[in-house]
This record gives sequence, structure tokens and C-alpha cells, in this order.
Amino acid sequence: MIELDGVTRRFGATPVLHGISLAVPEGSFTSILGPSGCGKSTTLRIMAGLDRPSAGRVRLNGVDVTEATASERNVAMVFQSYALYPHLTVAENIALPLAMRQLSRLERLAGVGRLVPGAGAKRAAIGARVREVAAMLGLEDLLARKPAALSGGQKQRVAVGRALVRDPSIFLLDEPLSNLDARLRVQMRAELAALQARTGRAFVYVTHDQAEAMAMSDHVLVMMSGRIAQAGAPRDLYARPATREVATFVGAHPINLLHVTLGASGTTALLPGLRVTGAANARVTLGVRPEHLAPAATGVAARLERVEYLGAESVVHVRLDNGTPLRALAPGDWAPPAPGGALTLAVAPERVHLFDAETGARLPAAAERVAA
Amino acid sequence: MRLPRTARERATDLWLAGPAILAMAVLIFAPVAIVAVLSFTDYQFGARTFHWIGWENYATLFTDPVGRKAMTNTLIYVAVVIPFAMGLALVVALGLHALAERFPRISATLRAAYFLPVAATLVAMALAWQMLLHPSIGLVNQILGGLGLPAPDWLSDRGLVIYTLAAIGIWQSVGYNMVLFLAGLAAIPPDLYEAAEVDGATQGWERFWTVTWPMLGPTTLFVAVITATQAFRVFETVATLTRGGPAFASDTLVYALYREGFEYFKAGYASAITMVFFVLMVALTLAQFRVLERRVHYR
Repeated sequence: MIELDGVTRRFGATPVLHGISLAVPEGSFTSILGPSGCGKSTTLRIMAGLDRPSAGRVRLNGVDVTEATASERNVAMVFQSYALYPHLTVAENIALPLAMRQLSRLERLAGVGRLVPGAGAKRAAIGARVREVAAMLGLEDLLARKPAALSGGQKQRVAVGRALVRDPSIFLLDEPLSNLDARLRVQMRAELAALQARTGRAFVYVTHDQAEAMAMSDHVLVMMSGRIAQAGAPRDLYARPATREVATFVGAHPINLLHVTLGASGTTALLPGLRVTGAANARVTLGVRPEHLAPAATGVAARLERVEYLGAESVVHVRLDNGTPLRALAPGDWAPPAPGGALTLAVAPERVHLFDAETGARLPAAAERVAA
Repeated sequence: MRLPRTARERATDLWLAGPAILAMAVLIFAPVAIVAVLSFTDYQFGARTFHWIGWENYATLFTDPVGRKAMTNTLIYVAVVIPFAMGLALVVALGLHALAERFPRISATLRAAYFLPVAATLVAMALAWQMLLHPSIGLVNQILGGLGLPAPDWLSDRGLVIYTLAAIGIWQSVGYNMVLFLAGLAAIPPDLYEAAEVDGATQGWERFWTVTWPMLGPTTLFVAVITATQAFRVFETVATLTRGGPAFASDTLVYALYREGFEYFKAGYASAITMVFFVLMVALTLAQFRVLERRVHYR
């Protein structure tokens, strides 16, 4: 298990991380999710020992490793660029971490190394382990190739193989799928999750893609401008986002945000039929996900602007009477009215998120249905 | 009337590539052909006639002691200059590259200092070397004398002179090679060093052999070709410092070519030396690319 305790990182005078504290428990698949520039890669590099915090401590299995190098920490890392050694074959790339650790400098020398007593047995053991990992990743036929002769997906597997070949204390993955095409990304997503389950080791997975984080991890840390905005299971992030930014970032379809001032009874003209208890006269932001806003017989009146047909579902762009644009989601077989036509959208009050208009923090108050 | 499309495209090709091909034919291929033809004659500048003498010029170059001396001297010079000019340049480049992270100012100043010999005129610099290496009043021997060491005749000792010139050649090309290596070092993706660190290559030596040296492959090949061609062409220092002497102990191919052609006006013999030089250069460059190309691009 790896823990960060009040980790701050400044580049010159610019703070990038503001006192991050987190814990990745043993055996968990934890994602660090955030937009680019939020400090997620810096956090991972500090875990790896490739970067040092300006303040704060890093603990690995209870031992303070803040000053330890990456190899002393025995972490494995998969880089976004794969970072394969172009002059080595696939087999040599995968074997390198073992060769560096198990063979002496003399034994590693090409030619001479074979003459050292015992080196042959060690090399054979490394070779066997490399073949085992290659079989696990379906790389058996590529072992003699150089990285230049591999496709992006194959390079990705080799990079994963290089991490898997030894028994590291933790696996760190820095946006490993972002250079792959969409179809391969979905496939590798499942494979990585299966690998994690198989090794039983903790994976820390950095990504800017909320779908990856949601699909693979059992724990997600959402980072926003150098701070952890929310930590929790994917379901928590989706159902109870802690801030407006998290609500915007998480979810396949961008959430609708409505900036309103509630009336004395906690109602707003924008969404009739709803009342927020305990937040009378407050300026709030209401968040409604498109998938919780569907065309129905009764509800909020709006005018249709256009429909994006996606097959299984349609994204419906509408405008309220006061000009506020909204996105709703309809089943694929829904027959829309002509553009400009009137329609009504139903919203379930328990699906409405409330945020403070100033700070963006989630408000404890809940919306409830009232008779219109 | 419009020409058919393929004819028009051919005309465009000719119009685009033609002038350059013509210039190359007139300025490069024709002179080389003329030199090749001349090398089989006894032609002298200004003479009205010449005779075909077959391979005699070549035979002279390879059997005559003077001609052989020029060949062996050139090969010794090249054999000394290539490894030292490349090795020292790599060491300097690695040092400056590492220094640039912490002290960019100092690194930039040193880089400029190392590059100065490249920017300076070698003929002018030869004058400075002549003074430094003067047997009695030169700074080098003054220092050696002060340390109680023997003071050799750098430029007039037959056994030493070619190595002295090689040292000056190294001094001159280290700066240029260093700049090339620095560019190569800057192009190595930092991810690879980080991957090496995670993989356990933490010592400088292991990092060098795992990442730096293999990734510098293409740069090293280029530097090797440049250094070799430069070394084969050694002329200025020979012409200004020793004039090939003493007793042809520092005679080199290009200097012999100059002497035979422009002092003795033996155009035929000079052409033969040119052809040998030309073939050597082409062979060397081809060999380097053939042998090394496959090993530096990792395909």
C-alpha cells in the first residue's frame, strides 16, 4: 500500500500540488482522474520516485520512502509513450528489469557474461520468466522483433510485460492507453483490469478519460488544479459528485448546469414541480444529467433545437422558454417533433444535484417533487 | 494544341529537375571524368601534348617511397584522429549536457569555448600552434622543461610530427563533434531514462549503456562519417606548419596532390592521387553506412 501525506510540489514558484494526502490500499485498482495540467502525472511520478515532493512524505507499506529512488522502491511503471528501448528486441526489453537486478555487471556483458559460473542458469530462469509473461500477454510470436516493427497496441503490451516480469510492490500506469485507437482502448481496458485481478497487486492508473477510470477502477481520485476534489468508488462520483467541477468531469454526457436563485419556498420557475428544502432564497447551481432528463408527457416545457441520433439513444438539444439550453437523452426509437416544436421533459427530483453558486461545493439540501 | 497529360507531366519533371542535373553533370561528373582520364596520362600543365601511360601513375603512387609515405601517413592520421576526436567530443558533450541542468550559463560558456577552434580559421590557428610548439621558446616545451621533462621537437621530429598534426586535428574537430553529440543528447526522450531508472539502471554507467549510447547511434554514425572525411582531407596544418617535412614524414595524400599538381605541375600524377583519394572516401563512406546504418536505426 502506498500513502502520500501532505505532498506539495512546486516547480520554481508555481505550486502544482497543494498538500495531497491519499492512500492506495493493497490490491486495489485506483485511478487518478483529472483534466490535463491538474497534477495527476506529477502525483504518480512522486509515487514512483521519479520526482520528489517539495514538502510532505511518501510511505510504501508503512516505510517512509520519500528519499528513495524508483528502483529502491521496487515500483513498476508503464509510460504513456511506452518508453521501450528501441535497440533491444521485445524479449530483451521485457527481460531488462530482471537482468538489471539479478545479473552482475560482468554477467550482463554480451559474450563475456556467459563464461561467468552460474550466469547461464540465471539467464535461463530470466528467459523462462519472459516467455511466461509473453504468453500471458499474447506476445510469443513477437519476442524477436524490435519495437520499431510493432503496432501501438503491441508496444503497449510489451510495456506492460516489462512491468509484469518482476514482482513489484506497486504498478503505476501513466495514461497507458491514450495513444491507442478507440476500439483497442476498450479492449485493453478489460485486459488491464483482468491483469490487475490476476496479480492481486495495487494498480495506480492515471487518466484524463473518465470512462476509463469508471470502467476499470474500484477507487477513483478526482484531481482538480492540484487538489483532490473527490475520492470514492465510481458509483459515488457519479451519484454524489462533491463539487460542480467533479459533476462536469464525470459522466459520459456533460451535465446540465442551471444557475438559479431559489424562491422563498425553495422553488424555481426554471424547473417547475421541484422544491429544494432548506435552501430558500439561496443562489445555487442545479445539476441535471442528460440521462435523467427525458422527454415525457408532463414536466418542464421546452423547444426542440436539434437531435443527435446515436443509435441506441439520441441526445436531444432543447431550449427552455427563458433561453436556457439543455441536453436530454431519449431512447433511440423516440420520435422527435419537428425542430422548434414544443416538448416536455421529465426530471426526477432525487437525481438533481445542488451546488453552492459561489464555491461550487455540493449542498446537503435535496430537491423534492411538489405539485405544480 | 494541348499535349497529352503524361507528356505534360514529363515536361514538368524535366523542367524541375533538369537544371540541377545539368549543373551536377557540368560541375561534378564532367570534372571527375576528366580527372579520371588525365590520371592515365603524363600530362603536365601548359604542355601541348600528352601520352597515354596506362596505370603507371598509380604504380608510382603505390610503389614509390614518397607516394607510399603519403598514404601511410594519411592512414595513421585518420586512425588517430577518428577515435580521439569522437571519444573526447562525446565526453565533453556528456559533461556539458549534465552541467546544463544545474549551471546553464557555465555550460553555454564552455560550449562556446569548445566551439571556437571550429569557427576560427585553421591557417591562422596554425600560426598560434607553431608558436606554442616552438622547440625552445614555445609555451609547451617551456612548461615541460619547467616540470623537468624532455622537450621534444614537435614539428621536426620525424617520428613525432604526424602525431603532433593529429593532435591539432583532434583539437580542431572536437568542438564540432561536441555540438553534434549535444544535439543527439537533447533528442533522447527523458521517458527512456525514467524507464531505465524504474527498471533498475540507476548508475550513470548503466544508464549510459542502456539508453544514452544506443540512442546516440545515428548521431555517432554521422559524426564518424564527418570526422573521417575531415581527417582524410588534412591539408592546412601540413601546408602551413611542416610542408610535408621533415623528409616527407608528415606528407599526406592531399598535400602530395597539391605539391605534385600545383608546384611540379604534374597534372597526370596529381589526377591519379585524386582518384585514389576519391575512391578511398567513397569506399569509407559506403562501408560506414552499410555496416553501421543497420545497427543504429534498430529496424
